[in-house]
Amino acid sequence: MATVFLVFGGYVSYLRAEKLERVNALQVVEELVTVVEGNAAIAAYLRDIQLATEIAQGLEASRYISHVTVDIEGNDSIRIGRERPDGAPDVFRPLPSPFSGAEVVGTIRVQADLAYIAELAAVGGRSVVGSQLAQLALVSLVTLWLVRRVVTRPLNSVVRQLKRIGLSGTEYLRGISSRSDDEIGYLAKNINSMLHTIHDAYLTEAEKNRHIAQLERKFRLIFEGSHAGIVLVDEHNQLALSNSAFEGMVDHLVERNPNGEGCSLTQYFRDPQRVEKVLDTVRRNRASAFCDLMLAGHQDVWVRGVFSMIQNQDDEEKEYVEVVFYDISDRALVEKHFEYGATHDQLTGLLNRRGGMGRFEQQIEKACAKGMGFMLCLIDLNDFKPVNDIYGHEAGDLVLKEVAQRLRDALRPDDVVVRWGGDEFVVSLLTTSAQAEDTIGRNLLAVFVESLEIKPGVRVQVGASIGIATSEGVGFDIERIIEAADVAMYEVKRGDKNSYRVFEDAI
Amino acid sequence: MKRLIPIVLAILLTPCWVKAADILVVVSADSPVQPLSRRELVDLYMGRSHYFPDGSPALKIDAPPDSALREAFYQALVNMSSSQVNAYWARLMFTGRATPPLPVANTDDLVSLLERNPSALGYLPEGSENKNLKTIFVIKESPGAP
Repeated sequence: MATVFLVFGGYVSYLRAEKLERVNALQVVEELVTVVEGNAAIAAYLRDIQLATEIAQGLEASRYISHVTVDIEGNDSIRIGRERPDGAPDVFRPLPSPFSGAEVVGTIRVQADLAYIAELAAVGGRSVVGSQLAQLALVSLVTLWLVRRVVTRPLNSVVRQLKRIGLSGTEYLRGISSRSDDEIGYLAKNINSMLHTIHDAYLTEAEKNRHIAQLERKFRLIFEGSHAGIVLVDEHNQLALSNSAFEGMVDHLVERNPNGEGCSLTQYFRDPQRVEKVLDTVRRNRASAFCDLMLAGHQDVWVRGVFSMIQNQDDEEKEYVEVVFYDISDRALVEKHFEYGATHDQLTGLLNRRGGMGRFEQQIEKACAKGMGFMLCLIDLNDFKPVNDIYGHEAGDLVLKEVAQRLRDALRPDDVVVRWGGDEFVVSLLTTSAQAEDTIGRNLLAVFVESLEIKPGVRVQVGASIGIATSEGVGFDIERIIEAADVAMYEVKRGDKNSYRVFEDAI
Repeated sequence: MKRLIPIVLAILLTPCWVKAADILVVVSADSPVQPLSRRELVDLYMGRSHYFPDGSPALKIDAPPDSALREAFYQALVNMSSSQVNAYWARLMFTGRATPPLPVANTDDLVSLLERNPSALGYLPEGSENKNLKTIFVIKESPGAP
């Protein structure tokens, strides 16, 4: 396009320059003729061939003129130079008489050297076009250089720097530097502020992601690394999530579902109805519950399940129950579990006779080892039977619980309190002084001074007959001590009832 | 031509009445030359013709170069000053074909030259003529000229 325009423009300006050159040349010819016209008129007037010839030769000597004819009225023509075949003069002037303007004494006809003028014009045109092209080229070069310097190079520099910038790096972001004060500099500044914003956002996001990843790792560690089996159960009792501990627990029980999803929790247990019931209860009460369950399969494997509701934050509709299973079929755990039942009284939470015997042995061992005394008090409630008869077993149970609590409160933590059976309690303790029996006896009697409330507004009074035996009096044989305490207690029962008595050999 | 008619009439009918400032073109009384036209006179004096219209050679006599008469003559005839006429001749001097009229030292020489030479042609201020000379043209003094 530019080339076409250049060629066309060059041609037009060539034509113009050539035409100008031609017109100029013809004008020069006219002027030359005008210069010699006066003398030519005189020559024609005088019919002076010599003079006319000289004038014609002078004209013809000009490089613009190829042929001159001077016609003298009533005489010959003088022809100088090569005449063109067409013969038409480019300049024609009549020559008037110098002394009488009306009389024409001759003519002068001049043919311009058109070939030379054309050549001259062509040279002129070419030189004009050439110089114009040279100017154009120079201006183009300067413009190109300026554009390169002012626009292209700063832009390239900006682009190069942009390419080098790594947004994902955590190091400080090096912005784009541009020395330009113009739009490119403005652009660079804007890009810088944008880049910094993006970079800051990236850093914040990266930090957040790192934090989340860390948290996720920790949670996964808790979830996957836990020894307890953890499962999430949806509203259809299907497993939504389970950890590897749980899978290890139940892996051998059921044919594994290939897609792993849609397994019911209940199928893993020997008593599925019970599991369903617990789940329903948890959902209904929205409270945690625990329950010991036996897994399905041939082995007796006990697990304790802790069921709790989980409120889903995203979706109120979807509620999960989280169940954490501990394997309690472990021998020690089983024993502990059974031992508690075996050594404790269910109603009062105190040790039962069996549990108490174990502790007496421990206390005696300790007393022997440290040179301390052992004391055992057998407490038999008085007036308890009427309470049972009048107010019923619940009232009796309440009395027993209250008495148990008061006994616990009255004694030191290391002392042992046992529900010996029915309405009998045993308290055993280690003593350091010889005269501790009376203090203990009085303290124990004080427990029964205040009446007990069995229902609002109804209070009952129960008393106690207390028999006390000590290692000082009887020795460290527990059977004998208990026997001695029993004897002392019957002494009291037979006597004034609500009192205590220490066993003595004299009895 | 309109101007020439009264001049010719004046020459033919009342030769003694011409005005004091007029210039008379004269030849010897013996000359066969007939009165000239103005153009013929110009052609003779400006070098185009060397012969009288009848073919006889003409010897053109000029007044002294610096004289008022010469000035007045050329001014009236071709509307040129003496110096312009000098320049005109100077330009033609090298070609050799045209020769300027022969100048005389004073008016008396002119008269005697004309009287003695039948082919001579000259001009005189009015009043200097005599019976030996024949007037063939009268140049009216142009207004304002000396």
